[in-house]
Amino acid sequence: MRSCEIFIEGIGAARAVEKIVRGGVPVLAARVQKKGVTVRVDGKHREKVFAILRGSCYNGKNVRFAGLLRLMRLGMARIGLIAGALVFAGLVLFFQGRVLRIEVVGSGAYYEAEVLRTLAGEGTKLFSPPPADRARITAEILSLPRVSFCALSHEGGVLTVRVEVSDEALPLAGGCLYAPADGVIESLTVLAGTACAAVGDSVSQGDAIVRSVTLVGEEELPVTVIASVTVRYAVDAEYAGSEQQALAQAYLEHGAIEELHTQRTEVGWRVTGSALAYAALNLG
Amino acid sequence: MVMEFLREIGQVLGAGDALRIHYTVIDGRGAYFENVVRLLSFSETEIVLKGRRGSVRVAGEALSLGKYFAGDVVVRGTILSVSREGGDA
Repeated sequence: MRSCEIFIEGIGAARAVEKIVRGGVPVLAARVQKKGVTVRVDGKHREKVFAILRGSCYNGKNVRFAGLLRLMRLGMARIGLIAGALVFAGLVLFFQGRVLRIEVVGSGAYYEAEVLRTLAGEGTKLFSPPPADRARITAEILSLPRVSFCALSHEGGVLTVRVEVSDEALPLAGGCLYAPADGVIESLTVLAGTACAAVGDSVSQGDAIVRSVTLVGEEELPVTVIASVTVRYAVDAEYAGSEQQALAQAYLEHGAIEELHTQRTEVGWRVTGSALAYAALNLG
Repeated sequence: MVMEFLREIGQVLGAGDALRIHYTVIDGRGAYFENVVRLLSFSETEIVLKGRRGSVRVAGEALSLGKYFAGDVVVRGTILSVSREGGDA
């Protein structure tokens, strides 16, 4: 398919074609034009055709190459454009398979921070490949409070995480979140509301930890608090009976006690240490 | 006289047919010619091919040549008529 077309000017299309054929060059096609004839021959015979025509009254002009050879020459003339197009196509294909943006949508979109943390734990972040183990990520997100549906999809470089929360849960409680005991805040999770304290702060039982308002510009708007707090408090209690009975009773009342210390008293046993008190509002 | 004798034998044996231009016309596509010695005329409406015995005139529209070499010619286009002239037409 490496042929070329030659336009031969002059009278006598039949004679021109006949000369070429008699010169031992197979003519692949011939077409009469206004002022001559266009002849197609194999590219390797091009020089021979011009040699045949040189000694006669015909003018031969190389019109163009045809077939694959023409495509190759066109390609070489625009090699920069073709190379740029290939690089562009390669980049598009490469980044199509990467995460260019993460979107958390649905009624549970307020869990965006938790979703991003879960994805990061699986190595999924901007410009990384999409998550391989989607089932594990979905299960982890479904374990969040009130989450009833979770789906991951990756299309066009955008990783979309749809999180839906169930409306069949108990009606949301209003009001603020208060400290459950006198002690130091160990952990604080606030999804909605305004925190009045921070981790490490000393609080008294009944203190407001999260208020049911949120600041929008300079205006405070009421919101439903979705938060939880854990406070570490000191345990100092006396129980009658044996030491084992005292420890069991202390565990029932306070849960796991750290820095546990027992001391015999006249009444029975004194148990000291520190324990955690947990309070949550519309969370868990 | 010898030539006359040989020609008569050739005719009896059908050797004369072997030297004529043979052609096959495919309606709407073109035609294929064998035993062509020379291209006498070539235009969009008429192509004349010379064989060893006589010639063939092809009339039509938008005529062009396909492959032409070693006595074989392909004519493309709309062929309206093919007629033999001269020789043993």
